[in-house]
Amino acid sequence: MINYIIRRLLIMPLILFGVTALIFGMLFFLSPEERSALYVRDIPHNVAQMDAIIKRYGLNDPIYVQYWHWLVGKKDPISGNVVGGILRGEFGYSRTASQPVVDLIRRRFPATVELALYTIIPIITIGVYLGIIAAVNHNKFIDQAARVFAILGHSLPSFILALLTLMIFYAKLGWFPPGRVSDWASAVILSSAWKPYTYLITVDSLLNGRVDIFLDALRHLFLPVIVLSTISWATYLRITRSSMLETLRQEYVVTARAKGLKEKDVINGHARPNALIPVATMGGLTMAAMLGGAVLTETVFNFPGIGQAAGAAAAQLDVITVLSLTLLSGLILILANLVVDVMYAFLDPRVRLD
Amino acid sequence: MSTVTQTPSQRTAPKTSYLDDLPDRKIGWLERLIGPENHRILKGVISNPLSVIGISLIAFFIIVALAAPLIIPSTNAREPFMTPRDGFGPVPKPPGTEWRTRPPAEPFWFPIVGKTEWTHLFGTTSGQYDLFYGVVWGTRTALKVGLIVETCTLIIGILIGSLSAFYGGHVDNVLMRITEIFQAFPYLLAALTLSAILTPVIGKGIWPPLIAMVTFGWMGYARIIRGDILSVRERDYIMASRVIGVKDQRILLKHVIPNAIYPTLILASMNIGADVISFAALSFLGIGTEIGYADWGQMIAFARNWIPSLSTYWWIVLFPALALIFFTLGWNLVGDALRDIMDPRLRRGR
Repeated sequence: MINYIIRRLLIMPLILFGVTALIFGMLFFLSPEERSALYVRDIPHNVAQMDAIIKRYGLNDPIYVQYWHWLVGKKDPISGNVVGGILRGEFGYSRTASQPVVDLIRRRFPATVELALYTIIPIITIGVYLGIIAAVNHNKFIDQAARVFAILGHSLPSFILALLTLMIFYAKLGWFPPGRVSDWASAVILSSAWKPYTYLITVDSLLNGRVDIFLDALRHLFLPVIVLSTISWATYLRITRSSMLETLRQEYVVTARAKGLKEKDVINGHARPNALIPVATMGGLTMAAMLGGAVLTETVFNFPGIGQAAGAAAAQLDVITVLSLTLLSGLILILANLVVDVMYAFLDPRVRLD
Repeated sequence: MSTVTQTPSQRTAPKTSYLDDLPDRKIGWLERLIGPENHRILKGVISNPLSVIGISLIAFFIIVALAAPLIIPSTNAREPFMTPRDGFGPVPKPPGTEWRTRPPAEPFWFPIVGKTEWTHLFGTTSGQYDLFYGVVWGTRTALKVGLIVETCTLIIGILIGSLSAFYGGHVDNVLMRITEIFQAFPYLLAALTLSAILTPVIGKGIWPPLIAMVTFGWMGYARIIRGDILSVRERDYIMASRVIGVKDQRILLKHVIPNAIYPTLILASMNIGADVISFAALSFLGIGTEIGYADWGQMIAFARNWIPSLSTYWWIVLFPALALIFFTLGWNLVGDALRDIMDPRLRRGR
């Protein structure tokens, strides 16, 4: 297994190089003038000033030189400081958010993390749990219902589901408003009395002893969580069901039954743990679905996470911002997939020889 | 089952194998024409009620797309995909409102239902774009998008996948790493980024999102094709062709590729629903086509400014959303049935 992990780690620099090169290649569709947003906040309209900036930051250098500068930063010939460099966390300036991209990420990321964490609940309860029940009751009513449920979940585009839920539960009934917290709560959060421990409002509010804000945040999270989780639980439901169906046909399950074990023990003790191995490997895919889905969900619900920032930036053709956010989510995904692969090797001994 | 008459010699022959006890199976002309594997798939799809519903939905949308100019004639002959406007007012009008300025020509179905004048059948959006026109002509956009994206991603996927499988070694390694790099990003974010980059270069329209979707959409096919070719290569009939001295090139083109790509082709066609959702999502975010283009995502995007009063102006969301949902549902129902039929692991014991 050590071999497997080492081999997996050896490929990593190559993949990381490819991913950054691909992003930088896309950046090269922009003119040098537009690329100056990597280094300066205000892009001058004066031609002479623009030329000076292009020269100062080497925006007409050969592509490999610029790639290197973009990666590790460039020494500013005038001030002598090192500027830019994504490895130093400097992604450039966001035109739409009028702040450095890294500040935008720092401010928006906790909201997306909080949203993603809560989506795990419906994925486990509806996707995995219902998937197992459906497989155990193969071809009975609950199985058919679960299948229809999964197909519906797959066919409802997230932004439509979001609009429909808002139409009913906000515009009509007024139960679940869009946004992250209500105005009165955000006034409290912005005040100096509020101590941000984790930047996750549902956690911080409890640590600050404000149950009312906790409930308010939950009320705002409810609909986005339902919408963002729908695609994922539909996939989990299908995979869990077919994996469990296949496991229940294995000979060791027959053996367990033949020994006279109770059906409950056969399912919970013998079939389920093995059936869940392929389910566990979907972690990476789920992350991808969530990061992509967050763009639409957060946009419709006006939820201030990185997805909404990416959507707004793309609509206004603010390439530096949306490109940086894509790079960031690509890196997160690579990490997640690495963790999942290593975990898989631990869970399933058959993989290690591969 | 046994309808084939047996010859006397067969009847008297001593039973040497269990095969003799099996009833004869009649092979119909259709099965002879398309082969046993495709026949099995076709039979499975037609005998499953859910997939029959799916096929009907798809057929309905194809008919609507083909007949769009007959259902609601365009008012702008040069740009038929631009949705006609009835004034410029900001407040959406409900379904059934009278069409005041320059309604389309009278279509063939007016006498049948006893209608004499155009009304806004599905209502209007803010800016007074007619929703019925947008939904009907949007069917054309949807099918166009699905076909273009699937054709292009398949061609790239088959090319990369088969090159990778044929040459193996370093070529395989390099191509698969490239595939992995393109797969590293969340699809929607990557497509969003590339569309935003391409829009100033080639202008607004359906092409920036289409090119972006193709660029980040081929990897799955490359991997499946590669895997299928590798497994088909090991089958007995390929070995048999080798033994009788068929040239490698002929084996590849005549036996390996056709057998490897059919399952992929079928599955790819079922991804059209997902492509149309992605395209609509990009439109919804304001990327791609210009405002007023007959495209479902574009229509739904009008609802973004009316969220607090959506229960009043429900029609802006409902009609384009229903079109999109039923379109995807159609492809997903058929795709689901196909996946069950073609998944070898589920084949036994069913």
